Amino acid sequence: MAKPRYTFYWDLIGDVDARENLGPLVRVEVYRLMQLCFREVLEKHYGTEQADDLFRDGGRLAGEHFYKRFLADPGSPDLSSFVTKMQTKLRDLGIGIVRVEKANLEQGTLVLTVDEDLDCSGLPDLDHEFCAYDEGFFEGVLSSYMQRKFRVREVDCWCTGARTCRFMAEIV
Amino acid sequence: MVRKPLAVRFFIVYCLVMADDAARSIARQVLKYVEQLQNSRIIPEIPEAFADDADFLKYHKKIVELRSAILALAKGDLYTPITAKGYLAGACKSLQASLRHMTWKVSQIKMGDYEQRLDFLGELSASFNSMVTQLKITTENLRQKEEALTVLAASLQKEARRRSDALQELRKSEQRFKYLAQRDPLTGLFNRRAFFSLAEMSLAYAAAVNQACCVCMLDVDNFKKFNDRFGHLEGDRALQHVVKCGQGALRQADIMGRYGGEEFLFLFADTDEAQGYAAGERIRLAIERSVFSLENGGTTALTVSIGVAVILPGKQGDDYGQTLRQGIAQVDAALYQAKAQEKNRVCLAR
Repeated sequence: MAKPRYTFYWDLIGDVDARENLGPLVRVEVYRLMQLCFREVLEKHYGTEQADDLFRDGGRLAGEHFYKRFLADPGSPDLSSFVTKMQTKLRDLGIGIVRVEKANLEQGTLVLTVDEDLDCSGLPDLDHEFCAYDEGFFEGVLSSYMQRKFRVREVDCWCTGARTCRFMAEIV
Repeated sequence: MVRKPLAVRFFIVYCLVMADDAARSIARQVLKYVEQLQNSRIIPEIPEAFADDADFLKYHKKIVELRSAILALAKGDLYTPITAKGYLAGACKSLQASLRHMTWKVSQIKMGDYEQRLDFLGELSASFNSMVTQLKITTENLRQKEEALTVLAASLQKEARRRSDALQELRKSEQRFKYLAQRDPLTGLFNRRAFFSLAEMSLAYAAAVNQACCVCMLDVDNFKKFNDRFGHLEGDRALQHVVKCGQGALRQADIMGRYGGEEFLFLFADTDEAQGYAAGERIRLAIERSVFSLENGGTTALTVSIGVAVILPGKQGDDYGQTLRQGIAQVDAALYQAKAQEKNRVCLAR
C-alpha cells in the first residue's frame, strides 16, 4: 500500500481564527452536507457495511486526537471527573449533550446518550441506526481514557425533536 | 354538458348523504376506540371492521407499547424497552434517558462526588442541584465535626493516659511512703510503731483463738566495743547481718522489728514458753554460727543475748498495747539477766 498523503495531526486543522470575517463557526447543514455526501459516495463505492466501517474508523481516529487535545489529564481522573470534562467539552464545542446512564468500569461497560447530536439531531425518522462516526469517536475517546480497547455501538436512535442516541460501550 | 335526469341527481345526492353517514359512523367508531385506548385502564378491543387492517394493527401495537412504557416510567421502571418511533415514543425515551442519567448522577454523589449537577429537567434539576449543594455543605460540616471529635477523642485519650500514669505514680509513691513510714531504713525491718501495730493485731487474733504468744527482745553483744573497734559503718553492716540471720530463723507468722540501736523485738505467734525459748535459741545459734565478713577482708564472730516472755491469751477487747508493753518490760528484764550471765544466751522472763 502506498504511503498515505495525509497523516492527521492537530496542527493540520490550521488556524481556525484565520477567517477574519466569517469566524471559526459553520452551520450544521454544511457539516452534514459533507458527511452525508461522503456517506453516499463511500456507500456506492464500497457498500453499506464497508462505508459504516470507514466512518467508524475515521471517528475512532478523531476520538483519539480529541482525547489527546482536550481531555487527557496526567492526573488519572476518576470516571466521574472524566465524564464531566467530556460532557463540558462536547457541549462547548457544539458536538452534543452527553449523559451517562450506567457505568461499571469493573465489568468494562458504559451506557451513554447524546442529545442534540451534531450528526443526527433533527434527521428524518430512519429505520436504522445512523451514527457510525459517533460510535468510532467514543471508541477512540474511551479507549484512550481507559487504556483498553472499547467497542461502542449505537443501540437506540430516536426522534424527539432533539434526537437522542444511546450508545453501549464495552471493553473488547 | 348533459344535464342528468332529476331522478339520477336525486339518487346521487342520496348516495352521497348515505356514504357520508357511513363514513361518520366509522370515524365515530375509530374515535371511540382511540379515546378508550387513551383513557381506559383496560386496552380496548380492536373494532371488528379493522381486525384485519395492517395499518390499524400496527397503530394499536405502537400505542399499547407506549402505554406500557409510560406506566413503567410512572412506576419508576427506567429500563422497559421502547421500540416504537416517532415524537411521543421519542419523548418517552428522552424522559427515560434523563431519569437514567439522574440515577447515575445519584450513584456518583453516593460515592462522594458532590460536584454533580443536573441541567435538563427544569424544576427537578433546580431542586436536585439545591439538594446536592446542601448535601455537600452538610457533609463538609459533618466531616469537620468528625475531625474535631477525633481530635477531641485523641486529646481525651491522651489526658486519660496522663491521668492514669499520674495515678499509677501516685500509688507507687504512696506505697513507697507507706513502706518508708513502716520500715527501719537501715535494716528494712518494721520500725517500732509498725511492729507495735502488727503485734497488737497478732495479739488480738491470739486472744480470739485462745493461743499463747511469745515476745522476745534481742540485743547484740558488745556492740559499743564493736563500733569502737571497726567503726560505725561496719556496725551498721553487723546489724544488717544479724537481721538477715534472725529472719532466716523465723516462721512466716512471726514478726520482727527494730526496737532501737542494736535491740530488736520479735513476736512469735501461737507459741508457748518452751517453744518461745527454742525459737530464741534458734536465732541466737544462727547468729553465733554465722561468720561476719568485714570490709577489710577479715572476719569476726557476733553473738546476741535474748530475753523471752510468754504472753498468755487475754480476753477479747483487752488493751493489747498495754499487754505488749507489759511483755516487753518482762523481756527487758530477762535480757538484762542474760547480759548479766556472760551474754550469748537466751533467758526466760520469770
